[in-house]
Amino acid sequence: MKLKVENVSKTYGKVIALKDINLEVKEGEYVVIVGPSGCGKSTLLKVIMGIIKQDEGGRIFIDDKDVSHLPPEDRDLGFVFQNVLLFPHMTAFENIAYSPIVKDLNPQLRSRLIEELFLFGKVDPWRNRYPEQISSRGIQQKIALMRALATGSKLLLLDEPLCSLDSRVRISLRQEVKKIVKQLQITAIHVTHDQEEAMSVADKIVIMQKGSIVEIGSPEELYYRPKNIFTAYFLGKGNFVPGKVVRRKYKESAVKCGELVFESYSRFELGSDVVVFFRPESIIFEKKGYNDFTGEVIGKRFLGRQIELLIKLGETIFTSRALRIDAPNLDVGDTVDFHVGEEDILIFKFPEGGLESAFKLE
Amino acid sequence: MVKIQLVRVSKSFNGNPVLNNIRLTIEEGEYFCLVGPSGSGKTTTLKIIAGLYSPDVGRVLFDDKDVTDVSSWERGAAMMFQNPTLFRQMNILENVMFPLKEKNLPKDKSLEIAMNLLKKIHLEDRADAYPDELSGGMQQRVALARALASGSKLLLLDEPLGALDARLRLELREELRRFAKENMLTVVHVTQDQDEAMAIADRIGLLKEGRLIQVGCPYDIYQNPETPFVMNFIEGTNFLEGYVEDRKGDVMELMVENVYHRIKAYGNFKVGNRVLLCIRPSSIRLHKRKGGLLFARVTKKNSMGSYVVVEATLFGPNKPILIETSYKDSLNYKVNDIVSLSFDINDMKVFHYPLLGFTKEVEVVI
Repeated sequence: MKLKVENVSKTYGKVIALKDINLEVKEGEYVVIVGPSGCGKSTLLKVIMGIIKQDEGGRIFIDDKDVSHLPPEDRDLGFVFQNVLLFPHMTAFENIAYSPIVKDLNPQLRSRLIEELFLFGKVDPWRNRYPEQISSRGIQQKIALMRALATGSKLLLLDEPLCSLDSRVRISLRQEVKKIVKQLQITAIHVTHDQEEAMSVADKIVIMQKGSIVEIGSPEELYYRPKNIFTAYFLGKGNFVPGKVVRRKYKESAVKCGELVFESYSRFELGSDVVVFFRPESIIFEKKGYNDFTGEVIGKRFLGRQIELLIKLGETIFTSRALRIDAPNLDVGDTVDFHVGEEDILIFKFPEGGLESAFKLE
Repeated sequence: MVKIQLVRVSKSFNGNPVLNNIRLTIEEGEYFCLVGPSGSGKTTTLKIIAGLYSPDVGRVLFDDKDVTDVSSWERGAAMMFQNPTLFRQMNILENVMFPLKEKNLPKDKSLEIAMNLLKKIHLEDRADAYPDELSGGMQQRVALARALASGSKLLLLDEPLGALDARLRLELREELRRFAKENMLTVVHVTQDQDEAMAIADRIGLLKEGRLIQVGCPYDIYQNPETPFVMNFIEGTNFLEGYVEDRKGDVMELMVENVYHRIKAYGNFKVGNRVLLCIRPSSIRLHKRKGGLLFARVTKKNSMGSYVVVEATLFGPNKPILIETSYKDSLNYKVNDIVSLSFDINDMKVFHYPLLGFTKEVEVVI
């Protein structure tokens, strides 16, 4: 199933919860909507579900059919919510069988579908237990997922489905959810506040902030080549250095940040106030003849798979991160040469109101 | 000035043992994180330190003084929980000043202390706001300031960041550590997020089923895990099953998963011993065809932004192995490519095959 959201806004009096949202989801795609609390991501999901009515003019299409005014039950969707909402008086089996029975599916087809789901979800051992007899919330949530899939719907909406689980459980379950969804060739829209969860499962990430969509793209694109400075900040650690464009030839620009000069590509006018951005992973410990810098290691942190270094040049402190097996053998106090590739540097317009307000998470 | 000692502490609830013979010393000024799966006894340990529970057996010492029978009130530890429990009818200045009322300080003195704390949490200009007008992260900062207003040097944190957005958590955890260090606090921080613990702890204690299995600094607990469980719980590892074929000194030759090559590893197990060979995904290097020891076919690539997780299936045993590489390196490999894997002998860990079985040892209950 595919989905199209067209010009959807939602206002509550003066408060704008959603502002002119346009989004297309292709058949079989796993799309994750991510953003800080209050950005409107859950509201958007609820508008797609049909439990919140969008403002006049906004439209929702499911498989090219206009469902903008249909009630939730006629939109043919499966839902999973943050809080496990299983029917407490039914066993796991009865919960999963609920929708096929209500839909009056022919008994043979029905039992085949249900058996398949038990197999897929590996929840067979809990088949005859009531929700309260299942101590693990992870398993409960998996049964809720199976129940959503049993509706036969090919469009699955997940609202923070892993949020109430332990971090270790969350990591393994998110991969499992994606695997099941892909095997069944379902289109999924998954809402989360966790940028790491988004990166790890999404085919496509939608970043939201203050009721609007900021940017849409694949995890790699958005992490390494974001078009928006908020995306760059939200998806992980970054080096952000304010400066001015001091040289420009076609697309090649040089940006002066205090004593440092960065060469990269941009289309900003000479003299523009800009921000140089690159990821900590983009720092390479060698010299290449340009974009070379020398600084002092002032901090070193062992993070397990990665080693983080803080490198000071004048007033600026850069963060570098490398996988442990690739990391240079450096200690606090060492002087170090490093290079940042021009293709790894992005130049953003300096945000009105400053960096701090552009990065506001709350 | 608070050094904490737990001496052979055990606790059970309704006959179910929750903590078993815990021995732990937390040094003055230390940032200590307690991690472990749910139900492993983290919060119970914290509450015993706070004096909210008393141990069935064992003693609790503060600065070498036995406080086992001292009330929680008199121990005076500052506590903070997942949900900030602020007084909603008071503004945030009043909230922070609340613990000072008990102390009978002159009003301007307590006002000064409270304003100083608000400054430290960057909320001095919101002093007259009410909790409901603040975001979750701000409320949590106010709760921190209030917890510390009493002047306590011992801060006990129970999942303090658990209810916040993931991105915000990354910022606040750094702030929390900086705050603790600047104010020379001893901190015990319970979290189920091992990345959080790795990033901010001076030392980590790992609990499993009420036992403290390992205590050490992040580097130590990561590089020298004492059991397969620890290795898997902190960041995760690949497991290969096998046995010791030969040994010369402390270099063993292992036959694992019936792959063609013998693998050299450090250890002094007996020839014939059944073992688990553990290699972290981040310790494996990928090579084009030749160059490595084990051959595999790439089955999946999963970008985490900062690094990429490659899944490859070993030829022979058909076993999936996870490898973590840099984004740039990952561009050299596509799904279905044949690759070889190499790893440094220092990055491998060999354990005796768990007595109670593999699953019982390493599984984190979902």
